[in-house]
Amino acid sequence: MAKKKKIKHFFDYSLLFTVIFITGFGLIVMYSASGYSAQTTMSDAMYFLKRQAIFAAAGIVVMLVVSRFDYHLCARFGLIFYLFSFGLQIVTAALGIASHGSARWLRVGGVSFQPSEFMKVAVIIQLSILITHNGYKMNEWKKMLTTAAWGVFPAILIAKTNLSTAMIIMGITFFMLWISCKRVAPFAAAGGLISVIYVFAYPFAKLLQKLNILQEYQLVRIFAWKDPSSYADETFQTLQGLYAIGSGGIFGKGLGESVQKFLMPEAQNDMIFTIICEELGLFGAVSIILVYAFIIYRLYDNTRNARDLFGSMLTIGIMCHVALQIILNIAVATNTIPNTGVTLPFISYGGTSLFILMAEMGLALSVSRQIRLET
Amino acid sequence: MRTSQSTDDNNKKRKMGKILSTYMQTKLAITFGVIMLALIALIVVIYQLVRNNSEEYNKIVLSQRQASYSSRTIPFRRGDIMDRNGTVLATSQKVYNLIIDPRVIHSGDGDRYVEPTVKALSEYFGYDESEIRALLSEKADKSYVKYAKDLSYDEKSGFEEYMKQQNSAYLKSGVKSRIRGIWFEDEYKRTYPYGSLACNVIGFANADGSNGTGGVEQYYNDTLVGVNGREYGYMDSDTKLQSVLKQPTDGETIVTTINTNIQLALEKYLNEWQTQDVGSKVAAAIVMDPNTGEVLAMGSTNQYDLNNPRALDESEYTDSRLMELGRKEAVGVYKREHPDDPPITEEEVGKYYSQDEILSYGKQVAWNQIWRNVVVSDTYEPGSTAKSITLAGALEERAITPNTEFNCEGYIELSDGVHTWRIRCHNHDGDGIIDAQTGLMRSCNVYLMNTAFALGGEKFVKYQHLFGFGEKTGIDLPAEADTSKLVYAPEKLGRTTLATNSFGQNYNVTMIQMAAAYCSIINGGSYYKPHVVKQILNSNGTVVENIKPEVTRITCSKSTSDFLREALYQTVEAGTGTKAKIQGYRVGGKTGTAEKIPRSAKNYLVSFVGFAPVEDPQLLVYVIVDTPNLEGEAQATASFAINIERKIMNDALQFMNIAPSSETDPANDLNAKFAKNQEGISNDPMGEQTTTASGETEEGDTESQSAEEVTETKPPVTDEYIDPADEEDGFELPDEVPDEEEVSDNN
Repeated sequence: MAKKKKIKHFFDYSLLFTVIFITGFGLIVMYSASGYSAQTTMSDAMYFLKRQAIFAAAGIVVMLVVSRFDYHLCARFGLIFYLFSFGLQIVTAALGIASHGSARWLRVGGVSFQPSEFMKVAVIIQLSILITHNGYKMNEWKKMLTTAAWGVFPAILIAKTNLSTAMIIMGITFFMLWISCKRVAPFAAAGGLISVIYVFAYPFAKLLQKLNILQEYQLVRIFAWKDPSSYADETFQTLQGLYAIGSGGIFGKGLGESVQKFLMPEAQNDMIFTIICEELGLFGAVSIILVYAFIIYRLYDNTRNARDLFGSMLTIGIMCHVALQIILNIAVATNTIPNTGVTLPFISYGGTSLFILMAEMGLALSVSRQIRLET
Repeated sequence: MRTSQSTDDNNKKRKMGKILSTYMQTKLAITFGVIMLALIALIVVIYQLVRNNSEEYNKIVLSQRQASYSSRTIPFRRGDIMDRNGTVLATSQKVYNLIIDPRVIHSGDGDRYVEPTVKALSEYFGYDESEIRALLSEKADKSYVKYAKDLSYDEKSGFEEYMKQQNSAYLKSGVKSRIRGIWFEDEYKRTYPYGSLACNVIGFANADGSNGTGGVEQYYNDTLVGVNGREYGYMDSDTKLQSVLKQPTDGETIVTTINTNIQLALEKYLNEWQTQDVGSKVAAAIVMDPNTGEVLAMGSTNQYDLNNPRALDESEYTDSRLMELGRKEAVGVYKREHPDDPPITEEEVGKYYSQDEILSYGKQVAWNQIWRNVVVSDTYEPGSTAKSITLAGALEERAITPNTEFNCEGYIELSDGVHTWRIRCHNHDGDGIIDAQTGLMRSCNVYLMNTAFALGGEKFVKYQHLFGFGEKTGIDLPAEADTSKLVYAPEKLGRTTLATNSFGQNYNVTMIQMAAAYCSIINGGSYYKPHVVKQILNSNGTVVENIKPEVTRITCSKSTSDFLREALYQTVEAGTGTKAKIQGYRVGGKTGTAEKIPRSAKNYLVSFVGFAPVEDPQLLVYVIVDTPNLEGEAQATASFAINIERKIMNDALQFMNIAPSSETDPANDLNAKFAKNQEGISNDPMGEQTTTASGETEEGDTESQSAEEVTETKPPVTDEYIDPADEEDGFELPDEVPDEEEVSDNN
């Protein structure tokens, strides 16, 4: 009798272990990429590895803890967290203005972190709450636009200092609304517009340059993107990244054998994918992409089977976040889009980013835990 | 706000996977599809990058890696060399080389770097445009072309500023042209402010300062060199080019024991002898502090410009002379390269070696000749200066006492069964019955031979070694001659050779050995290791190491030392060395006249070792004059050496501020001399000092001497010489030394 009452709960172990696996793999690659620069600047080859390992360990613990909680708690604290993140963002911007620089970092009690990372999660949670709350009313123009505003405003605020994060927040907002609304046309139009900009950015910039409307140095990023070798100074890192990918070949030079990491200090950050390509070759790069694809597939599957709309929307947000970062990072590494600073999830060096991602994964696992299996 | 809908209500829906409405399901599937497609697209992009560019990028990566290694070394600064008072004798100045990288300049599409770069070079430095263009096209595939050398810091930083301004102007005006591929390489240029001064002590360093040839530059190379630094660039998180600088470690500075003033005086008087006086094949001198073994000055008539060590005097080293030297060297080279083949003759050399090769061998030989440090690398038979050592040994062993008397009849006859040698004294008529002091004063060969017989061969050799003959002194200069085979082993020392050895013939020594031995005789018996370096400072000028005087052994007792000091004083006062007297100072010393091998050539090496003041010796000056430019016995006049020694001693005493014991001769006063020549210390080795025409004095002396010798009264002998009137030649010495093979130095 008791047996009958007990409901078997699903838990997405495959997602959990894939995440742990790729984080461990990330530490190895990160060590290979950062060892040299850590040795020369910090005189400790393990410097970055140690720091990242601490964050990874803490992240895994947080992921497991979060996965035990009921994700509906998010709904209760979502608005507070959103306002808190937004406030932090304003503080950072204000401090940035005060110090005459573009500030991305905030230091609290000796720990520095990027508040914009929190903003991503806050937007995901807040949009999920609103969409669930609105239900079918999302199809109304007014509801749709007011909901979108919750994502667009912080994106505009962040865009000034950190364009890439703003783009990701915009992307998350876009995809969450696209799935929650019945409409297709405005989204198709927006997608079309982005494609047009992507295709015509270079000719357009050329035209502006010819008309002398904008100075060359204002368009350098776009020129450098299409013609990297002519702007060798401006695109040093991009070009070196391409050399790294190209010189890796099919099977790479072998783990730890990268040559470009000596030229590209901070290779452990945004450009780490190029080092993976160089050391492990096309084979390694495809393998990593397949692992990412599996993570995305697991999140997609959980979305379809979530217990309720709120869980679905949360998982959609998280999936979009992870997918966007992966795609943008690899696109930058291969010079498919102009250079923006996006980290590669679970692999790039960066404590805040890794920690937040782990917490998000915990959330996704928490959603998966409430999926009931038919017995 | 309700976010959790009742599970019961939705149970059915969920079970059917209908929590999301159909359009949501579709849109979600589309989203997932788009993401997957994007990932596949990226895989395709990576595949194309790898397929199309793998080889090209691999090359770029490798060349970049090489470039980042080779081009950004920051050279260390080689340490300075100073004299004992801090006067800089060798220093390194920072200069910049302009490097052109034609590969980079040609790398821009449409040659957009070429024009601006060529223009910048010609505008800023005034270089010839067409020449640079020619160079760029000729060496288009090179990455490192040293175009200009020894630019100053102002020129370098000025150009860098100019380049920056031009480039930002190009960027603002929207032109793609840039100045590229020009950079500067640091270098240190070694300079020797005094030119040839103390060339044998200092030596010279090669262009990059990593190695030295000769002197302190070679011996202390490890101390003088530092470690190169490195500079490399990277992009920081704001994609700005940052550079990391690993500073080089500079070399340490060496403080030598050389006194520049004394060294200047020494070279001046040697050059005076060589150019304005009789001159000789070579003359050399050394000044030492007998109480520490420090070398205060050292030099010879072989001088070369340290700033330009490979310049050969064309009047001396003509092409034909160089070819002759080269042919000789080539024979040796052939023998070394083909040890099993029969040796070739000088005439055959042309068949095996090209003209250029022979010439370059000749140049190498010539360089080694001019770079050779006569004082430590050359060996010779010392002659009578060695008598003091024979006496010291005999006195120590009590074989004789200062009062022991021997009768000199002008010669001793010795027979080894095959030959009979009649070994003569300077004074062919004999010195009569004399004691030790008189024997030394008159430099009586017979007295010394009898002394050596009394001492015995074994003990004689023991004292030779005790005084450092046949041993290396261990002086801190390279290429010290190995004389271990140039003195007799006790079992091979026959009676004849013992006899000739007693007065310094038939064995070889170096000047530094003789000077060090004399230091120990006059300072009370302590044999100090001769040295030229006093102190080592780090690049900030802090003392790293003090090199203390080191007593290697005790050679003789205080009483022997006291006796010899007095006897040597008497030698100058009333013996063969009277010309060495300096008014106001008590000077001691000993003459030497050695007959060179082959004896039949009748060439002589005359020498004098002097010290002052006798009561507490502070300075020792030793001068040799090898083969004066005169014929036969006329060479054999120790005065040639004495005159040089006296002048050096006189100046050195005053430079060292050694108080005279009585009134000095105002004519000797250096201040008076320099008053004429406002600069104080003359750098000009040919200073306008009046030379005493020693040649003439010599002749006069010799004549009066030979006239007096006929009388039986045996007047004091005031010079050591060979009587040219005699029908017999020289001392009639056996024509051999232990090992006739010249000891070659390892230069």
